[in-house]
Amino acid sequence: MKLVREATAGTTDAGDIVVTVLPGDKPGITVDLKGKSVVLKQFGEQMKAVIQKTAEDLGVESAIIKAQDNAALDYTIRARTRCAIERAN
Amino acid sequence: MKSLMIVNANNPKILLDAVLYGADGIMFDLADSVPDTEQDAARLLLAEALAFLDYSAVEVVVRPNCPCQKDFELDILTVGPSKPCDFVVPMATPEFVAQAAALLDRVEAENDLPAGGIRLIPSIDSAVGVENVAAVIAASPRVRAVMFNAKEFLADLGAAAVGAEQLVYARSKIAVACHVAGIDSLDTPYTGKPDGLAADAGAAKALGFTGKVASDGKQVKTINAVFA
Amino acid sequence: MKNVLGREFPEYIEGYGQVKPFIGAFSSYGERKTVGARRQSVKPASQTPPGEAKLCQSIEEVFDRVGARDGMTFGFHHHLRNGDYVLNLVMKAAAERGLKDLHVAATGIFGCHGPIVEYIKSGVITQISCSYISPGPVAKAITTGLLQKPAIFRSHGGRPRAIESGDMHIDVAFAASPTCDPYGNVNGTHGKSACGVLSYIFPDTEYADYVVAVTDNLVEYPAPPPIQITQEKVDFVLVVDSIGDPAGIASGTTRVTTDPIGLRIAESAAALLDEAGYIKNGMSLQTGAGGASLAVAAFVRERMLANGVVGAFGAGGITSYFVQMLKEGLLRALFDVQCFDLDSVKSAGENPAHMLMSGSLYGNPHSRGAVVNNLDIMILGATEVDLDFNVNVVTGSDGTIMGASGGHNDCSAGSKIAIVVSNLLKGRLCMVRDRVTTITSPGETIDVLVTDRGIAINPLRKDLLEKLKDSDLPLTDIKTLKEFGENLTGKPDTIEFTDKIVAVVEYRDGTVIDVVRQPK
Repeated sequence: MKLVREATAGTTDAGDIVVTVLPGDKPGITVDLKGKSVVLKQFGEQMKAVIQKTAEDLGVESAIIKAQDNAALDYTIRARTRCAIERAN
Repeated sequence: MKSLMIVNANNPKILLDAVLYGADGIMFDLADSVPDTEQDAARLLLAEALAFLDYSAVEVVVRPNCPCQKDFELDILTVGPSKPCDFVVPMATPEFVAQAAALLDRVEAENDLPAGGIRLIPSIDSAVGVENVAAVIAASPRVRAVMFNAKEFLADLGAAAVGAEQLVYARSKIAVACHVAGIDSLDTPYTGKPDGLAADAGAAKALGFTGKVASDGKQVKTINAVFA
Repeated sequence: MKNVLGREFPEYIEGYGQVKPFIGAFSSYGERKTVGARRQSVKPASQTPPGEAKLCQSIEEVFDRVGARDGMTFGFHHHLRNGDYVLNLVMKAAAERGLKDLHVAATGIFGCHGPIVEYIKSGVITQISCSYISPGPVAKAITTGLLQKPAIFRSHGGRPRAIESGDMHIDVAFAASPTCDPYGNVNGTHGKSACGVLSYIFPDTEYADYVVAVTDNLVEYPAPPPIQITQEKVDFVLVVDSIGDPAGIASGTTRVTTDPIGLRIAESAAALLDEAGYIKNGMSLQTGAGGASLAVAAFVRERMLANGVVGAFGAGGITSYFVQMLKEGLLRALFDVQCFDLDSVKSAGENPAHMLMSGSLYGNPHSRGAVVNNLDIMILGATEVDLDFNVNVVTGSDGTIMGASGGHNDCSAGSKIAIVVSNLLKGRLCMVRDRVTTITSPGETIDVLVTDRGIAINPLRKDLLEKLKDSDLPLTDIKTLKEFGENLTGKPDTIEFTDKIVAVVEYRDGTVIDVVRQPK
C-alpha cells in the first residue's frame, strides 16, 4: 500500500494511541513512539514492533510513523495504525 | 438474554472492561456512538478487539449503521469475519433483515464460517416497525431476538416522551410477537434518573419482555435482578 | 547480603549505616528499651526574665535558641498534607542562615514541598526520612539521586519505633499547630488551618531535644479543648502568617468511587469478608481513603446494617464515612491517626468516641501493643503484588518513587485479614508481577488480592481457602491473574538500575526489607 498523504487515527483517551503516518522519503518504515516512560521502558520495543508489522502486513514499503501512546494494548495499536495507513492511502 | 449493554465500539478502554459489568450481552455500537468521521476507525478497532480480547463469557452483539446508509455494508463485511454472535438490524423492516442476512451469507461463505451461525437482532425504531414486527421476525431464520427503541419510535409518532403508559401498545405488540416466535424480546434502553430504572424494567417485564438494553454498565445489575 | 525475601543489598550502606536485614514479619518482638529524652526545664513565670518566654518573635530567634547547626535533624508532621507551609518555611530560613547537611525527618512529603528540591541540590538538605511521599518534585529528586544520602522510608509505626529506640534522633521538631497558646498548648481541630488530629508528631514531642509549635492562630492561655500537645512538651512557640493552605489540607469531602469497576471490586471484597465471617459484632475495620478502598467501607456498612452488626472500632485515616458509621452506632469508637476531610476534623474536635491515636499507639511493633494488633479487617491499595503476595507501594514499575509505606505494613501485619483491592490492569501495566519492583509489605502479611478480573487468596491462608471453597465469588489464583494480565500487556522488559541506592525501605521493626536503586 502506498501512502500519498499524511493521516492520523486514534484519540488521546486512556488506553488509546494516536498514530500519524507520513509518506517516507526513502524505502523502509521508521517508527517514533512517545508516551509515559513507565510504559515505554517496559513495552516500548514490543509496541514499536506491532506498529512496524502492521504496516508491513499492509504492504507499506516506505513510511514515517509517529505514535503518541496513552497505554494502548496491542489490538488498539494495530487498529489505529491500520486506520491511519488506510486514511493516508 | 436478560441484559444487553451498549458500549461505544471506538473506545479501547470500554472495549477492554465491557465484560466486567455482568451483562449477558454486549452491544458494540458502530452507529450513534461513533461520529461520521470515525466510522472506519471504529470498525477496525472493534474487529481487532473481537480477535484479541476474550468475550467468550458474553453474547457479542454488533450494532451497525442503518441499512439505509453505505456504512452498513462495510460494518458487516469488516466486523463479520471476527465472528460476533449477532448483528442488530437498525430501523428493521423485512427488507432490511433480508439484506443483512444476505450479507452474512457472503461473510460466512468467504470466511469458512458455519452458514447461518451469525444471528440477527432487528431493532424496532418506528411505527411501521411495530406494526410489522411479526413480518420482521419471519424475514430470516437468523432472527434470535427483537429489541425496542422507544425514543425513535416516539419521535416517529411525533409524540413527546411522557411516561410508560404511551409505550404499552408497542411493547405489548413486540413482546407478544417474540413470544409467539420463541425468541427473546429486549426492551428499550432507559435514560431517566437511576432510581426509575427498576420500575421501567418491571413495566416491560410485566408486558412479557425477557430482557432489556442497558444504556451503561451501572444499569446491568438492576436489569439482571428484574428479569431474573 | 540478601534478606529472607531474597532482596540484595550491602551490609553497610553509606549514609544509612549498618543494615539489619528483614528476617520475617513476626520475628522481631520481645524486650525493648527506649532512649531517654533531653529536656530544658522552665522556671515559673515570676522567675522568667523577658526574652526567655516561650513565645519567639521570629524563626531566626527560634534557630538561635535551639542552637541550630549543620547536620541537625528536624522533625515535621504532615497533617496539613498538600497544604503545608511549615516545612518550606523552616527550610528556607535554614538555607538563608547558611545551614548545611540537614536531615528532614518529615512524616510525609507532598507536592507542595517542591521548593525544598533547591535545598537538596545546594546541600542544605542531605537526608530525608518519611513515612509517606506523594509523586512530585521531591520524590523525583530522590529517584534521580540528587539527595546525598539515601532517603529512609519507615512505616507510620516504624518511625515512632525508630525515634523511641534511638535509631533516629530528632534535634528539633517543628509542629505545625492550627491553634496554640503562648505557653505551647496545641489544638489541631480549631483555627483557620484546622487539620484534626496531630498524631504523627507525638514521638517527636516526647523525644526531640527541642519542640517548637508553629502556629497561625495564637490564642489566650489556655488553648481550647481538645488540647492534643500539652505545654510541658513544648519549648517554643512561633507565630507565622499562615501554616497552610486550607484548600490543600483536607478535601471538603472524600467520596466513594463512582467508577463502576471500582465499585464491583469493592463489592466483591465486602462479600468475601461477609462469607468468611468477618462481618460480626465487635468487628474492627480500617480502609485507605482511596476511592476503591473507601468503597469497601460503604459496602461493609450495608452488610452491617443488613445483618444488624455493631462493630467495635474503625481506625487509621478517618473520613466522613467512618464518622457517619460512628454517628449511626455501627461503630462504637474511632481511633484516628489522620483526618482526611472536614467532617472528620469536626468530629475529632467534638466527639469523645472519636479518639486521637499517636503513631506509636497506631502501629509501633515494639510498643506494649499497637492498635493494629486489635484490627480485624484491613483494606489496602497496592502498586504491584508478586506471586508470593509481596506488595510494593513505593515505586512504579519503572523504579520511580511514587509513595512510601504509610501504615501499609503495620496494618497488614496487625490485622486478622489484609485485603488488597486493585484493578488488575493499570493502563498497559499488570499489577501482578513475577517480582515486585520494591517490597514494602511482606507477602506473609497479605491475605487476599481482590481485582476486577478475579480474587486470589494467599495459599498460606488455608483456613480462608477452606472456608470459601464452595463460594460463588470469582476465586482464582494469583498466577492465573498474572498470566491473564500478561496475555493482554505482553511480558514487561526488565528495567535497568544503577548500583546507587537512593532510598532504604525499612520494615516496621527497623530491619531493611528492600532498597530503591536509581533507575538507569
